[in-house]
Parts: sequence; structure tokens; C-alpha cells
Amino acid sequence: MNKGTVFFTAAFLFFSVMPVKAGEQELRVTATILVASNEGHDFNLVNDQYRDELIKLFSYSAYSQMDAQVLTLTKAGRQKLALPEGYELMLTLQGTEKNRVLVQAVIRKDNRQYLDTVLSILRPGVVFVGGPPVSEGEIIIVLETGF
Amino acid sequence: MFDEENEDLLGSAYRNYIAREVGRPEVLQNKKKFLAENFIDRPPAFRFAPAFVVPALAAACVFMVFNHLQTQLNPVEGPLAPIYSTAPAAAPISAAETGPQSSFGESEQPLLDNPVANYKKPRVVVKRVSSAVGPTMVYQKLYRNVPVTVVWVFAGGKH
Repeated sequence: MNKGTVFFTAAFLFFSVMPVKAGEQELRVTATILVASNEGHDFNLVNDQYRDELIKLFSYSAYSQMDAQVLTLTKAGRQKLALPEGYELMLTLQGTEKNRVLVQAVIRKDNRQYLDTVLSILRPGVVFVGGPPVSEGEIIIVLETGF
Repeated sequence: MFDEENEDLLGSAYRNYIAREVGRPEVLQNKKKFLAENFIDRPPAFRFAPAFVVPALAAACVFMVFNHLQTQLNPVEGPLAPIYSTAPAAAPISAAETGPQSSFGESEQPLLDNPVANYKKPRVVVKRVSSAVGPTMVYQKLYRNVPVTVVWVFAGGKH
């Protein structure tokens, strides 16, 4: 085995292992912000796949997508996402257990904690978090991981 | 010379005599009877018995060896059960039907650790949920046979 083969093999192993280690420390989460109401029957959604799920899960007649962002969570710090009418969503990667990830989601407004939850998510996973009221209805946040 | 000619004539006469004697009907009948009694024809299948028996025995030996090895590697204990069975789908039971699972204050007890539908493990388990503004509710509903988790806070219009 010559030096070139050894170098190539070592480089291949190094770059094969590196993304796995990096993936354990990071988690990509797609957060889609919706406002649900009973005024009208409009479905203003970028992703039409949500439509059937929303009809199944909730009893609102109208849904409007306000924002959608991809966040990269790390154990080092929390990610903030601005929600309508002064609310903010904070996501923190708390750790991993087996093939699940632990994510803390906090919804706050004016130093009031509207929701604080810890979710154990098996990737790929989807969870709907909602309830904070706004003038047009109520906020629903769709959190997706592992897609 | 004379002797040779007489010898040929005697030989020919002897062969003719034997042929006549053997060709007599009673002799032929006795011959058939003798062959039928002492040299019975076997069924055609047994004529080629080795050609069938040897591969069959070899296949049987191979089957027994594999069956023995498979039994040794995967011993079957207890009664055999079908691998696939059909079961009716579990009806989705949501917390909305049974009432809220937490109220004001913080609850450290894990919620919904038991899947709603036993045949599909939930992809999201709520470990903890709390709110400072109102009761919270966690429920799951089946969407395409997959439990989907919803975490909801009833803020009561306190925005």
C-alpha cells in the first residue's frame, strides 16, 4: 500500500465521520407561523400539505401563513423567532436521547411566559404548538425537524 | 473330403432337427410358461430406479441438513403465530375529548408517554409543558395513521 492510498483512505474516513459529529451538535428546525381564525374560509398557505392536517387537527375555518424560517439549533444557545404582535418563540436544543432530540420551545410576550414545553422528537417529526391570541385569531406554529 | 461333406450334412440335419424340436408348439408354450414364472418383468419405473433415487436421496439429505441448521440457529419456542395479522385501527383519542391534561403552573410529569395508537409510535413526545397565562393541553390525532402532536395554551384573550 503506497502513501497515496493511505492518504486517500485517511482523508475519506475523516470527511465521512466529520458531518456525523457535526450533526449531533446541530438540529435544523423549520418553523412555520400561522394565524388561525373563524373569519372567512381562506387557506393562505405556502405548503398545501398543511391544509389537510390543519382541518383534521383544528376547527378553525381560515388559516393564514405569516412566516416560515429554517433555524439551526445548537446546544450552545437559543434561537429567537419573532411572532406576530410582539410574541417571540425561543427554541433550544437540550440534547439527544437515542434517536430522539430534546427541544425546548418557549413562547413569550412582554415578559410573560405563554408556553414552555420540552418536546422529544423522533426525526423526522412534526409538532403543532399554538394558542397565543392575536387580533385576527390565534397563533399556530408548525415545527418540523429531520426533513 | 468325403468325411467333411458327411460332417456338414450331419451338422445341417442336426440343426434342422433341433430347430423343429424347439419350434414345436408345446415346447414354445412351456418356454413362455417357464420365463413367466422365473423371469417376471419389473415395472418400468424401477428399471431406472437409481436415476431417480440417488438425486431424491441427495435432495432429502440437503433439506434435512439445512432444516437442522435453521432449527439450531432459530429455535422456535412456543406455538407458532402468524407474522402478519390484521387488527382494527385504534380510534384516535384526544385530550380534547378527555379534558385538559395540565392546568396553571408547571407540570414536570411527562405527558403522552404512552402512544395514542399502539401500532404507531408517536414521533413527538411531550416531556413537559407549562404556562403562566392559562391552562395547557396536549393531544394527538391520527393523520394518515400517524399520531400528530398538538401543544396548546388557552390564553383566554389575554394578549
